[in-house]
Amino acid sequence: MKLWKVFGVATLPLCLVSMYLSLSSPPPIEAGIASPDVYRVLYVHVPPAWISYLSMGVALVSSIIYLARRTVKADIIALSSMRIGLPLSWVTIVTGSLWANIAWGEYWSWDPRETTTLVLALAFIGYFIIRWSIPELNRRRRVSAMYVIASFITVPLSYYSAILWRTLHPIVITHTGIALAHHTVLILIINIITALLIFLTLLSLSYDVELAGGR
Amino acid sequence: MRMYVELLISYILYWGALTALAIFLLLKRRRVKS
Repeated sequence: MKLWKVFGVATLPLCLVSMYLSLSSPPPIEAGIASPDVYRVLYVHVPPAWISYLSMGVALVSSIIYLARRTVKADIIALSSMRIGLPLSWVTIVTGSLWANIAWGEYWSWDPRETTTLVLALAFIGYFIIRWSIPELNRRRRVSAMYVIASFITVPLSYYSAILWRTLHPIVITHTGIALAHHTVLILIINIITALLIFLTLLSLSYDVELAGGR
Repeated sequence: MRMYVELLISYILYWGALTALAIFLLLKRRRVKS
């Protein structure tokens, strides 16, 4: 049985559980908020953000391996990983923007976290523009790998932007703990595990497709 | 009310993007295999 099928079978019921818990549990923030239910956007904002960081990280490691050993499989993993990160980074931007309107009263305010995450999402687009624009296969792989290594800086830039600069974005994880209610943390962890399994499913499926296609 | 619509859009967007990517890959797999 193919790896993506195994992951897929394990992931599907977890998707339903995640969705159910996200929408049926008590609201993430209860005190002093007029419509606490709208804060449930948290469960579809944090997982795609983390998975887009992860996909860039997987692509980074694969690209380094490709440049060191010229292993085609490493290039395919990088491509597959970037393919998942691209839509998820834009989902992060849009859900974050909708949440910003709820929490800060504005869809977009060029906040450091917003701006750096936008740069990250644009970096994903840049990868595919580079891939499509180079016809020669080996050169395409080499330049794409170098691009991933250069553009990985956008991940720590996005993550640490809320700590480094003055921002409206809340810093949820600090050295003293997580600034969320226990049930919210639990549901968030379940959602992140689900997103991680979806990532593994799609990564192995994309890897299979590209390997069979001889890319 | 508009906030709840936006919440709904967020959920549709997240799960829709993942579903669309899975369908895209499955269709590509079918094309590659045939």
